[in-house]
Amino acid sequence: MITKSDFKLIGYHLGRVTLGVGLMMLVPAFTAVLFREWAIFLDFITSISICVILSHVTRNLFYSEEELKFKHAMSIAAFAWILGSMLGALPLWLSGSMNSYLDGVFDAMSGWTTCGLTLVPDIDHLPYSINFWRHFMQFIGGAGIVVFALAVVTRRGRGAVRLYLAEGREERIFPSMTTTSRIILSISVLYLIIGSIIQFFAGMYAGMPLKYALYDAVCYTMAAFSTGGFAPHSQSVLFYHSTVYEIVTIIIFVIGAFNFALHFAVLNGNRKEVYKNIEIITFSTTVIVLTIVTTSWLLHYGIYSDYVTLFRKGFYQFISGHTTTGFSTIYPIQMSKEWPNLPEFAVTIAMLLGACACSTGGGVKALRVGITSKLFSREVKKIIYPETAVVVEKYHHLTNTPLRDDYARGALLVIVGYIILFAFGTMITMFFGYNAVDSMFESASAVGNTGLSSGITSYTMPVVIKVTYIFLMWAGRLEILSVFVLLGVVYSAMRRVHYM
Amino acid sequence: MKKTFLEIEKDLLRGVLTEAAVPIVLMVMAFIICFMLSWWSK
Repeated sequence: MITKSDFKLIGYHLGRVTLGVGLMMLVPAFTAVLFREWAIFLDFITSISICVILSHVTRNLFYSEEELKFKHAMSIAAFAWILGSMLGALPLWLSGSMNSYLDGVFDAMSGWTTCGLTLVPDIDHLPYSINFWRHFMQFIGGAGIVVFALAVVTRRGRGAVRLYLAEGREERIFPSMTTTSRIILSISVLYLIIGSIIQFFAGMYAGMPLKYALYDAVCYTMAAFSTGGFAPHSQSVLFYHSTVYEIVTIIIFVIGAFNFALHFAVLNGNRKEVYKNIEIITFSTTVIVLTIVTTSWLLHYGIYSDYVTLFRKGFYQFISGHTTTGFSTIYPIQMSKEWPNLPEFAVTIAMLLGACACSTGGGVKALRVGITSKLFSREVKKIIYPETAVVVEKYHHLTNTPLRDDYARGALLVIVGYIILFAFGTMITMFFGYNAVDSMFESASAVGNTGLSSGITSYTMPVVIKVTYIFLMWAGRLEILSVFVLLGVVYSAMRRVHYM
Repeated sequence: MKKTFLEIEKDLLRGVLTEAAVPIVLMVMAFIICFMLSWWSK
């Protein structure tokens, strides 16, 4: 049962998240000053003021010193992403870059959840600071809004652990949550610096002027490492027509798809972990198998006749989908009209499988796929082996771990949840007359937080689909369970109002 | 045992290179797959 003090506690912490979002807007506001976009600077100042006032009012109105329980943490995490999107949409909407506030919320949700689907009508003519804000949202969203809040504005304590877990992260790198969230941010910043330097030289090599090569390098690296998929150009990575740029982005977004705990282990000298980890093995296996399916079918239908184009167009879309990034080297309409159904469906499956757990990526996650395959193996062995035999399956993920039933149940629960969301999104899209394969592709892209499009997502699409995709992106990022807890809280609140 | 600054930097660099090796290996394998498929189809 949810009490009045529970609501106060949730409201108080959401006030802190609101302040965190307002503080984040200082970065694009500074970019607006650098690019002398004074009107946009005022839009950011207005948005920051709204966040600060709202945060002050909320924190005073709902002041609470109670310890967070798991139900509170789940509700805060779920609300934080909605609130973050509503606040993050403010500068997008105020600057006139979006057709409506709803479109702004869609893009902000797509940003925070590192999805990458966009409703911006004209990306190529967006103000630099607004475009930077879209990419910055993805960079912070990759680490986690709540993680950011933990590292910067939230109090220490056991409640922090619960907030972290509620945000769809399962592993703690350190027992202290503040240290864990700071490590996640440090790893992200490390790769942002390395990636930006490499992308900068790749941009210069592709013929970009210095200032824009640097701007694009930072934007693309933020979107690549966070497996986000926003791009400062409407043509995404195709804009450069550069093999070097494509290779560099692949390296960054595949690294971004790795587990933060794995990053920490490898960067601290445990390099063998890369070759033994169940997630890397599962991810590599699904990449190779589905690459064969995708490329062989594209070749069979003569879509790309030479192997270089097959690699640059076929493999690039596939690996971008599998890591849930969303960068593309073809136009969205080509996916729908030019690609045969099978490779499009293979990319759909890849988007649903997704990246590694506790990474910036989305989807079911390689860890759960690996655990489920171990579960299948164990059950088959139980049937084949004599009844007296004790079958124990093990997997390596930082340590050697025996397969436990509760882990397997948790993995299956999330997989079933994703399938339900995917089916729901597909049916809603098909209801508006889109064909089945494109609808599945677009829904998988939204629920898996990928951002590849078959051409359905645009500012002209029906409002119902926009709202559905916002829900799918949110539920997919939170890995479903938090969403049901939030529904329980809302139901409880409605009952309280009813009996008052 | 506490690591020196140089050892931490070395570990970081080696770690980044080790992580970068995974996408590079995957890309090489994908390129070989594309090449073999295209060669067989002719």
